[in-house]
Amino acid sequence: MLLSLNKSRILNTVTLEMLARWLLGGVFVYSSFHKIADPAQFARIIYGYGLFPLPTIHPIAVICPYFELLCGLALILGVFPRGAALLVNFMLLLFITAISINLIRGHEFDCGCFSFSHDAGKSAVHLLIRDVFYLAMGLYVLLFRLFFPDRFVKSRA
Amino acid sequence: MRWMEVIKEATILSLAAVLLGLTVNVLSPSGIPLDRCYQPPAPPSDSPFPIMDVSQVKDLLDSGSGVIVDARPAEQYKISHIPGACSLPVYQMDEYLFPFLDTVPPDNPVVTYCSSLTCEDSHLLARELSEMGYSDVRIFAGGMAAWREKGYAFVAQ
Repeated sequence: MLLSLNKSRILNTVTLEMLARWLLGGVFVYSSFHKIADPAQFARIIYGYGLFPLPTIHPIAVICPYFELLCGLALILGVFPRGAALLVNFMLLLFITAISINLIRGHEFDCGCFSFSHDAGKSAVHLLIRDVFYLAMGLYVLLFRLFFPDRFVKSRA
Repeated sequence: MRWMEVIKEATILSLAAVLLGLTVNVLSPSGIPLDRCYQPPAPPSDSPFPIMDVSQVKDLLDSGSGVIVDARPAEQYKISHIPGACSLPVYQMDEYLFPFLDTVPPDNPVVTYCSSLTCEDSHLLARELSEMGYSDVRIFAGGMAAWREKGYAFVAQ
């Protein structure tokens, strides 16, 4: 009885969408903290990717963490979830492109994704797989919200 | 029509992120100057350890007169490293230190390196080794990025 109840809840797409939003939102909020605390160090990490013109590095280091923070919070709280999912997916596409370019050209870089030191051990392939997984979650949230809004409203009601 | 709403949400979040980022950057003591271009890191002029460039490291390797030490996490070392380099990850010292001490006498010249000019692991490791009694510690500040950009052979996974 309990098992079937849990199963029906888990298979409920609204629940799945909420879990995906919370997980993705939590990841983005967490990943913004160290960048907000030390933008100069984050600027060094961005430079290390070897992809961005020098005049763009400081603005990216200042603004990008707040995109992560606000989009993450919006996903967790369900405020503007579709817009947040769109921006998160766009950011993830940029991350995937940057990592792929460096992987192809064999350029060494530090990710700086969740910390400035301990995260450095992750290989580029590992980072790529992780970001593709997050992108799949982000696309699920966005498409679910776009194409099944009625189901969502009914379930919430 | 739905997409217009999504874009509207994303625009509001984007504006909020830009405004918040700029405001916090102005008010925060760790803020970075947006009116100045990012200055690429250079080998520190005040380093207590001699800084070597890529050709000096190559000469040292060819002559066999020193030990090259990779300060990056072990996972990165496994993916690629300078031929003949040994691994001593600065954040995993407990695990790797004793085998290193057994094989490298303290009077041997030791050259530390990490990913690139933007990482600090080589500097941290140089300080640790010096405190342990290694008398001739040098730093290859350009690291793996400089080595690969020069086109020298490297060990790959």
